[in-house]
Amino acid sequence: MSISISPSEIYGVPGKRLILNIQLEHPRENWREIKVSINFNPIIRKDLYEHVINETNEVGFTMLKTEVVLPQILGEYELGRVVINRDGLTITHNLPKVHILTIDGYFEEIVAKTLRALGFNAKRWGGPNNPDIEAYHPDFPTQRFQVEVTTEKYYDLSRYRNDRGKFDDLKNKFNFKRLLIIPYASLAYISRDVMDRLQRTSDPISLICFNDLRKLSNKYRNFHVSKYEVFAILNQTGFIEIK
Amino acid sequence: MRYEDNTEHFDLEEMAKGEERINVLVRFPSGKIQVEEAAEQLVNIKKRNIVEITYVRDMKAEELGKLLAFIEENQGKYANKKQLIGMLTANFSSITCRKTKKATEKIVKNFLITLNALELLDANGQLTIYGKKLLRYFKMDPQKYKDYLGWLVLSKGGWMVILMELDDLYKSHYFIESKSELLELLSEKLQHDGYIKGRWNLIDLINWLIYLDILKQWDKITKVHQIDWKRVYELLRDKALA
Repeated sequence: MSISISPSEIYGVPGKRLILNIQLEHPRENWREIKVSINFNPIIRKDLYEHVINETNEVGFTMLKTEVVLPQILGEYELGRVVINRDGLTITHNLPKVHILTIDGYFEEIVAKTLRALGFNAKRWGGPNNPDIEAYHPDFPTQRFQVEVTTEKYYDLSRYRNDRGKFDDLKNKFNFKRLLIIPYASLAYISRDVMDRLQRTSDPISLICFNDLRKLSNKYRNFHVSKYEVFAILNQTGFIEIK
Repeated sequence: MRYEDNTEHFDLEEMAKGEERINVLVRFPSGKIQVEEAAEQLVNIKKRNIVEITYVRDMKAEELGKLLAFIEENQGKYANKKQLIGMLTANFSSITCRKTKKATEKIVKNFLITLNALELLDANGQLTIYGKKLLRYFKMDPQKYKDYLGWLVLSKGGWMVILMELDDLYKSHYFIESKSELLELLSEKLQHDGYIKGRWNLIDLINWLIYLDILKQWDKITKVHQIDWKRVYELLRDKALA
């Protein structure tokens, strides 16, 4: 008897709905009863989910469905455990770990995940005296990126100065070689002043909109660009646009 | 002043709050016979979609990877398939490391028939996503190359039908004298059941299936190429789950 669960981690904000689909394939040999129960973490859901199967059907498996809604308490929690009991023989498996975050924290996680999909090692730091994300490509380990992200609708000069100042403060401490700014705002909402400064700068500073980062990730996934091209693109100075 | 931007915007809030599924799969161990049954079920499902069977002639399975590598290295040096055929013909010996008595251009054309049928090349002779993926596996991981090529020939190449017909042959013929008789009977059966037109020489195709670990080596005592249904099932199942 085996249980496999995917994904292994879930990121979301309070109010997010998680749907659990349980597919249970019936044993070929004789059996009397299979009991499926889920013991949720009481912080997330208080009642116990239970279902008993005592006969097979035409398709040879049973689909069960239940759901939970993430509570308003931020943090990292175990979602619970799934317990399968077949005629007295029990096995259990942990459900995924749940990270309940603010919308900013969630965006940082999504960006870090996208960078990982692009072949980078990315670690989310967060907090006032830390970078949002630290990233480097395993093939170029000395070229460490400080990644600053923002969910604000407009990316203006004051925000740019803020990110730049943070880079100046942290680059020696973390040995960063480049600042990569990834705003949630699309190109239309990046101020002209920021664009002018990015065009003129010779400092190792780049900005790529999140939508463009996703486009790059899709290209990489579909083998339209190599890992070296990805690194070269993200290592450019100034504004980075993906066609 | 703001720049124009027409890209579709990603809705962060919707994604953060949107539904997410957790899939839990509970399985109980199954015996050998059950695996064979499951493979046959999958075969029957796939068989319905088969339009035609991919032909392989004069090419070894491992040469396919070398060929893809050559095509990738020379991208941009040819404008169409005709020029590609010319380049492949000129460099045939260096790509495959073998000399052939047959007309090289004819062999290269057969190569391209296979590449097109497996959807590894597009209309302009450039590598498709499948071609790039297969090449990547060829360079990095020989086992994954075998697995991915196995999946390609079974699903896109329609070789599932060949395995089914071969299995039927084993069940309906008590004694097959030799390997050449088996190939002849198989070719006749495929033709009779409307999968191929004319007689095919299936020797290269069978060699591919052996290389891909789908068929076992010729057994001199039982006079069969045993089909590894478990391997077939794994190739299809793993891909279906991916």
